[in-house]
Amino acid sequence: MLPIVSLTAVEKWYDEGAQRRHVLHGVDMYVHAGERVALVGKSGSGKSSLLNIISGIDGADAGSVLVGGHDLNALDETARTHFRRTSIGFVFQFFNLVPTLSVLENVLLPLELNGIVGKIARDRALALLADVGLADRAGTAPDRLSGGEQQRVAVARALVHEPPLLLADEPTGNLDSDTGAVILQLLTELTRQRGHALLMVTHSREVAASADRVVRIQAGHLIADDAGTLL
Amino acid sequence: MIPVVWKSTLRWPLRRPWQAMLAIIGVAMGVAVVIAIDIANESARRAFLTSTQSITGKATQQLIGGPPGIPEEFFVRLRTQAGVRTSAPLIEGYAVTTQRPTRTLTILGIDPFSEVMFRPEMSAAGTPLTNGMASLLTMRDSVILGAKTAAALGVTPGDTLAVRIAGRPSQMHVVAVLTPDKTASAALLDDVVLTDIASAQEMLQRPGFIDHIDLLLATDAERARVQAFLPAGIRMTTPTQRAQSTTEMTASFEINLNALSLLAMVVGMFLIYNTMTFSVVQRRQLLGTLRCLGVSQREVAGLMLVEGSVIGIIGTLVGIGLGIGLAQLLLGLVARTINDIYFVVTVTQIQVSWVPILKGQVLGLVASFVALAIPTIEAARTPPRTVLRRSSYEEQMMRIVPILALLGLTGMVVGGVVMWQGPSIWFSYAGLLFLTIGAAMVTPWTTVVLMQALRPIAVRFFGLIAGMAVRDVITSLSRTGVAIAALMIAVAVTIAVGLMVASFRVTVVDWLTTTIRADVFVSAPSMNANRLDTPLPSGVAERIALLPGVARVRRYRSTMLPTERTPVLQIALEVTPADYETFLWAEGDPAVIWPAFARDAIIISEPLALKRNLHVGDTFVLQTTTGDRRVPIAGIFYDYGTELGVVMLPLERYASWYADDAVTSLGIFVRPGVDPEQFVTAVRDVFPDMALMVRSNASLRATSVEVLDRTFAITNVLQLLATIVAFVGILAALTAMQLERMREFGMLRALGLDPRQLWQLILTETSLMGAVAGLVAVPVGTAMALALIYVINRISFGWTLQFALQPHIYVQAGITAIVAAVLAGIYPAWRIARVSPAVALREE
Amino acid sequence: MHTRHPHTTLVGFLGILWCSVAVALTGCSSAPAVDVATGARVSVAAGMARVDTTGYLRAEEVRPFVFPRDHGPHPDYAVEWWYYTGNLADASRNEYGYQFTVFRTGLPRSGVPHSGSKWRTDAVYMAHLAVTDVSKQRFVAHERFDRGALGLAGAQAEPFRVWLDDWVVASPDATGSQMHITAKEGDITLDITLDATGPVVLQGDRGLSQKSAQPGNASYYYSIPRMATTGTIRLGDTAVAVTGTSWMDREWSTSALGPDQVGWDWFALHLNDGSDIMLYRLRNRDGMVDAYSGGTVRASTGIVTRLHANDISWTPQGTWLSPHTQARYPAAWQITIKPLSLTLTVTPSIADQELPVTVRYWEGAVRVSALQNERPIDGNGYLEMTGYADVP
Repeated sequence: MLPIVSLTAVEKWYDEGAQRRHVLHGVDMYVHAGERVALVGKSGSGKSSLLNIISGIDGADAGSVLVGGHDLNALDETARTHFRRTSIGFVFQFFNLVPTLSVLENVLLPLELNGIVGKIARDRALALLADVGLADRAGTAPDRLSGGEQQRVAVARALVHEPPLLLADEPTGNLDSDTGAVILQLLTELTRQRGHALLMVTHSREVAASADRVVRIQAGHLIADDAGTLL
Repeated sequence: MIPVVWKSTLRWPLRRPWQAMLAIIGVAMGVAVVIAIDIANESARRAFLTSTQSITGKATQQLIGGPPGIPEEFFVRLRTQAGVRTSAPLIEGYAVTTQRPTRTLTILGIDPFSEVMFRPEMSAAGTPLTNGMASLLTMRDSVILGAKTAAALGVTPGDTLAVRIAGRPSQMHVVAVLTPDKTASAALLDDVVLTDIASAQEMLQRPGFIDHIDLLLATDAERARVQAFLPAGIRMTTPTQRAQSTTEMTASFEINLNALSLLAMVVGMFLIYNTMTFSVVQRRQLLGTLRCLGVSQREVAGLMLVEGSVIGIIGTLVGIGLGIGLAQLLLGLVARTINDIYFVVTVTQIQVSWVPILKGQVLGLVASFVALAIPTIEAARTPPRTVLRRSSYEEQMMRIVPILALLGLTGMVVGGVVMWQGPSIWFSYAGLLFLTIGAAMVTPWTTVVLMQALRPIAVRFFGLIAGMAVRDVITSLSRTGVAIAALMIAVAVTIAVGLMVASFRVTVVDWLTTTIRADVFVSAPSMNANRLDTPLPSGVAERIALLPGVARVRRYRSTMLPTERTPVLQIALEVTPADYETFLWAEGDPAVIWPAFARDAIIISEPLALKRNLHVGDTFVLQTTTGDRRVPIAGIFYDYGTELGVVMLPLERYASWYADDAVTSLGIFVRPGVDPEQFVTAVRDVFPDMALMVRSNASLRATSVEVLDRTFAITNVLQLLATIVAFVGILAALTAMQLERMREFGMLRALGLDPRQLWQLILTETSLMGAVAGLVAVPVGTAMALALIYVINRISFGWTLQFALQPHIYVQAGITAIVAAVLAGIYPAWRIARVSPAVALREE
Repeated sequence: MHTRHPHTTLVGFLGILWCSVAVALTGCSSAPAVDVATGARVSVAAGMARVDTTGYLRAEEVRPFVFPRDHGPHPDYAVEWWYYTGNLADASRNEYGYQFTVFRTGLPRSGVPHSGSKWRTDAVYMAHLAVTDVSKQRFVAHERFDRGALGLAGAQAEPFRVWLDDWVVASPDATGSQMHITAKEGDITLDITLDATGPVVLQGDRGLSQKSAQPGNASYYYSIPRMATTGTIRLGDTAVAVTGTSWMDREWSTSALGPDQVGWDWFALHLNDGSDIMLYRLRNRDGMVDAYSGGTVRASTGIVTRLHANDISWTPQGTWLSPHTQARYPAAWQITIKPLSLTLTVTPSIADQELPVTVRYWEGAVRVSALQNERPIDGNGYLEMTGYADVP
């Protein structure tokens, strides 16, 4: 079976004046379908850049990026956007719910972008909201929810269109540890049930521990996973 | 159902209603001013055409004569000899009622029997002869009014109406009131007084003459036959031609008003641009998230366009309502200027038609979309990021600023070239627009330069808070830049219009001093403040010449001269060597001009020369009573009396060419030692029963300047409106900007800034912006003034003005800018200072 | 005699005046604000009563007639007309009829002051021009109004001339025995010369024609019954040379009709035996023939017989329904003049000779077959029928 994410010799750099600052050096990385991978590293190690490249938000400057069968380097901006809306689910550190939309509408948004509307969409969104334990808050505005509740909505929003790959950027970073644990459990369980791959950027041990595999990044180099396997 | 993704952005303005409201007000005011000017212009024009229509009826042709009119015997010959039965004589005149002197009544002297032929359908009905109706023919001063006019004047049949005709007190006996059954027909009777042609001749003191003859000629053969019958001095024209050439007189005036109204629109555009840019900036986080979730650039652009259109449409609709209301207010000013300068028109009600509304609407929407373009692109290009630093955006802004400035400079140069070289007045205005927008584009860069220079000084002398205020202007350049530019434009316009009006005034006052030399002027009252074409009663000149203290009486005959284009003012006058110095020559050598003038030539005014591209040595066709005459032009003199153009010829030659020895005004030179004001009283005493206008040199000059000031009243109003639009823009921008920084201010509060210091910070910042706007506006406004004076005025009115630099205008403008900016800072400062630091910090 | 005319003139004039003002400016007002809305159907009497005739003389007593002076205007009387009708034929014996009438109406005199305008007038002129082409069954009529001022319209005795714009009847010399009519409008032209072949006939009592019992309700009335006529007449594109006989009627008055008189029928007939007959029948509101009806017969011998109401018996024959006004006119007449044992059958040359003018009436060419003492006599002439379209 093909890996859902397959990076080969990926390079990323930024030109700052006369200097070129490399953030990723020859990164090779795989994530298999249904696998849960934690990406750990210090601030500025290149975690976010890597995540941006995998999600198609940013392009790699060299190397090949294959995600869900798409060669992202070969896609233009529009195609990458379409790839993102169908293949990726996002969970952000700061939740990033759309403040102008209700809880339910936030969850409906990815469905609508994928052309799923009406009762089917509604039922699916409500079911998922029930799964994250917020069935009774569907009509509420996001800013009335606590941080944990907002992140649960974010999880529901990330999963509702059933993307093969879920990207979570410090999903518990902005939550207390108990709430973080709940979210982590939700993420783990729901991706497992559905067989989605999950790539989490984190520097939390608990989070890393919940993953099948941990990948460490240091100064733009992938060094090893916790299992000791060189990638 | 509205898609969720739409809701996500469309709900944004609902969460910040005041911000959307200000944008709507911006669009609305821009549209309103444009529509209002259009409607006011059109109402005045339509009122004139309607009155023309009530005068011409369904005539296919019209005969018009020389200055005194058509001799009535010609009409008899036309009927009895040429057998042109479908012809109707008509006399026009004006009266004002004593009770409502602002309302001008048009007197139509008709021959009821001739009118019959023009309308065969009327012979279907018969009505008995009542004494009231017969009185129209037999009784002096008997008139018929439309029901609406009668109601407005509060008269019924049998009543007598006190009026003034050419200044003379007179009366009208109302013998009947007409109630037309169609509203459209009723409009034709508005402020019209119908009377028998005999009464009209008596009332208007015009025995022996009629104004024109309406004809109903079906075939070319008939027209040719009538043409062949016409003696010299009587010409055939069509009613539409005649009405058109009259309404064309106001073309320049209307164009200028339209251009000024477009200015309000441009400022309004800045407002939309400002609001939309701002709301994009505010929403970068939201847009970034949407982009992450897979919303494409195109979809984001679509969302912004939808939102902008909603604002544009609502603003435009509100603008229509506002515009109609504003039109009613402006109508009086427009009508007064037309009456002062061009022709008599009575218009009290605006006439709203679809054209100006549609125009305003389209313009409003186009302006909205143009203004939306950049913010939309900006929004679409939002990267799919959830954590976006504003500073990076501002850094980007700082990179753009010099490029923008360069573009702006290019725009200004292009504008200048287009203005000087453009083939038409519209090019000149386009050039001016380029200049303006170019200047606006340079403004952010200028702001940065100024602030960077100012910062060390501010810190040094006013402390850190002042320094912070200065720095904030730069760091929020994406917001402050547009606001400063908008304010700068408004202030620059204030300066430009102020300088132009001042220059005009100075020029005209100088000109009046040179040209108005006689000590006392006598004329017959006329409806038109600027024109004296009502003849003086015969004998007046002779009797005045015999008064003690008179050194010399100079006689003038003014008439409106029809030409192949718009009519021009023809002044026949007596010129002696003593009068030579009252002329200032734009072209020609006085040593050559005067002999030629005495021999066979005419002299013309600068506006006439410029508009028709005439030069000394060219010829000009005078349609005289004794036939068309091709006359050489000896000289071109400066004249600021009328943009229609003036033709001057010796009085004696006029009398023989036009078979008219009437005199319309007198210039009297008194002997040394005679007090002109006392002489004025003396003249009035000699003619106690005549409504003569007797004015001293000083009062005539004062009146002329007064008319001039009245003319600019509407200009000033429009300029004020543009400033108000700009002010709303500044208020919107600053409020939005400061409220957005609530968190930052909360932090500052938390760090220990007290509310007073916050006030200080915010007001310093806004007054800095005002100061920058005012400073940039000085050169820009001066450039615009030069453009208005040397290009626009010359092209559209045809006169050369002296540029008068008046420092107080700059001072006023600077104060306006700072006051507007400070005022605009008060609300946000008040809001922010009131909010507790905790709340401010929590606010997202 | 045409007692209708004061009415027609006044009513018509005012109708025009009113409407011209209203229509000229409003595209016609059907509801004027003053109390004239019902005016179109107003009776003769009411129409007359509205006019202030103060300052005008009345026809109260017999006066001497002097010609050509009396061909000219009599401005001291409120109403006056010059009436020409004639039956003409071309070389192919195609028959034509014409009517040319000029009316003068005095305006209320009290209000006329000295004026600074030559347009000021106290007289209004109205004229009717009608041509009948019998062979083509065509009838065309036109109407004109003008003020008697400035030379636009007027009348003078020596040389005789009456005109409205370019419609003119005039004598070439001072005698007034020959008259020339030129009138053109639309597609009809009349250009004819009339020569009196007989003397003037004074109607009524030596020219004073009493119309009702009240003194002063009378007119001065004379005719030149027989005028040899030659000239051209044009109806449409072609002008034809014509000859025939015309009848001239002259009448002036200030007040003629009584309050109950609603209309009249007037006959001006030429018989081939050389006699000329004028008859008028005044109709009262109750439908009866008024006692002041009458007429005159001038025999070829020159003997004039004056007829009174009971000398004549009138029998309208059938009805003609006007398609224009829906008015019902007698289709033909049977008239017996008892003192002369003369029976006349009068038949219109064409049925529709109703004038489409301000106040509608029927006036047209007629054929006459007469029977006098078993002897048949042919003839022609003009018939006028009024008050059929105006009265409810």
